[in-house]
Amino acid sequence: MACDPLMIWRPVPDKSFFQASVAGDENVFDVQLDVAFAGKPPQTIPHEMLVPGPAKIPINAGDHGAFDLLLNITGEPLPGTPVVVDLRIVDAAGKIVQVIDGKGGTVPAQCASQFTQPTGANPVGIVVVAVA
Amino acid sequence: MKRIPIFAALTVSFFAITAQAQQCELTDTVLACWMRFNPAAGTDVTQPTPTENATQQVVAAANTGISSFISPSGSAVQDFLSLLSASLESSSLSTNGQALTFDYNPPIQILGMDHALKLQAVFVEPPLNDQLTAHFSGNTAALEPFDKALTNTDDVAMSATFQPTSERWGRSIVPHRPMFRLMLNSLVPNRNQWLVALATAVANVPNLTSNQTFDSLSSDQQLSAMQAIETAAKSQQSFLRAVGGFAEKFALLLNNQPQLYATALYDVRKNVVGPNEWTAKFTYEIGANNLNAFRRRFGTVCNETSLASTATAAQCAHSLQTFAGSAATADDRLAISLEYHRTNQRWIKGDPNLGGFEFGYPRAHEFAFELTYGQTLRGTATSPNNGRIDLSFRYEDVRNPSDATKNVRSRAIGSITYTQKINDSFSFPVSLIYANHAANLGTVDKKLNTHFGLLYKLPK
Repeated sequence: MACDPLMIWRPVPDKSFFQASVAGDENVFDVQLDVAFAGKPPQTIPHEMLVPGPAKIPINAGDHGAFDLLLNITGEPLPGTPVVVDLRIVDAAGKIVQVIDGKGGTVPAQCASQFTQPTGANPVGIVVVAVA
Repeated sequence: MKRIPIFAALTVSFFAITAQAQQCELTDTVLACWMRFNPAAGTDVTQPTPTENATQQVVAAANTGISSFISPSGSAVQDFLSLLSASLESSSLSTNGQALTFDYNPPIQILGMDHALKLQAVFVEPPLNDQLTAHFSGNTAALEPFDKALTNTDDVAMSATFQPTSERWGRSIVPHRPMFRLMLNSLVPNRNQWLVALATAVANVPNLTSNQTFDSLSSDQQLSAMQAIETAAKSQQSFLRAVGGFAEKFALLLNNQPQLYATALYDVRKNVVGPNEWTAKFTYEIGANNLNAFRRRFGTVCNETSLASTATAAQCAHSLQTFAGSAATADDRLAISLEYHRTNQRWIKGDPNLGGFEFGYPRAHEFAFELTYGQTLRGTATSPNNGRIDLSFRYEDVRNPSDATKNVRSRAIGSITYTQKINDSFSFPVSLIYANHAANLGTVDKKLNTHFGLLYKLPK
């Protein structure tokens, strides 16, 4: 599933991990991830930890917060080899967790999007709200 | 008289619709509310993601024109970012003008520098040597066995090019990432507050998901939840706008960074085609307005030490945008090359088809100077379906140590090439080439040539 600009993933099990990874030619893009959790100091995960990643941020019982991924593509990726963003929440065993879909069911807490053009004045922003 | 109220009504409706688009409704889903301010980007990944299959590395491409180091239609910018590309050139006025070029930029590090090496092979459609064709002129039957024996690998130019990448050289963002990051983050330094407020608002509404409408919530939660989402969406919109304004200008300056590279080339030819030849070539490319120019102008204020201060970094980010502002579409690029060629001595005799005729090539030295100017004519350097133009002038000085009368001291070649990008993979170059001397070197054998080509950049 492609990543929406805003995603709400809940409920997240205790001792889970938010994982973010980005792939592509590092010559043509820059990415970072802001992490903001209530009661915790903010973090900015730099490009080096996200590419190839995954960068792992722990989520514990009672946590709620937001992950804001910012992607700037300064050059044109070659056809068939786009910049790829993969976001997911996994449990302690590394398995993708299931979150509610708002329709009475569940969906995997995972998304992946690809980008094939320079972002110019419109950088990519993807916000994931996680509620444990 | 009736037109004015109608116009006024239309105007009011337009602004009403615009205003409506900029605020959330209770019938919106959470995601729809968010996307009023922050539209979706990107598409679904049809293949397994790199996280899933542990692959990585993609490559970059822009409209860089013809990459061949031996073509008279060469571009002012060499592409060191694409992994693999191929191009085909064909002359419309000569029968021996076809050339197929393969480029390979191996994704390896040399001396700590990534993407510093380019390997290239150019397969030129081989013509028979002028001495042979002149001797058998009027006797095509005698030339036939030589002509039929020619293959596409009888004139191949292989080269290796080294390009150092650093803060000063090359178009990669990697050496500039610290500066880019400090300036970018200074534009909107406090994102934590509204991100936490967003997460708290979501956490306070049990089971709220992104595809739920606000009016499906309990009446006491509807407005507060919508306002919280809308406030956060506006904050994200402001953040992305500020970052985007800066990033766009930064990318323009980055694309204009100079490149310096050295090429060693060996041209292998069949004996009836020509002599083998060594070439050493040094090329310097420079863009009109680039990050080096920004650093020269603002370096005393905007350096790595001073950028640690958020206020200074923000000031420098604004300076960079102002500096690049006047060059929004300018990507003029000038390439200067110096070349040395050495032709190996070779003597051909004893072939029964020659009928006792002997001929050969003396050792010769050639110095050449080349000047190429190019710029994007249609669109911008990074826009899709853009078109670029390259003007080239080449001066050659050929010395024959054994026969000074064969020296060619003023061979000049001029070309104008327009390269139209058709889609992400294909470009279509057209060249008009003029040479003041006909010669047996290269693919130019008439005074005026038109070249058509097809350039294909291969995905990994």
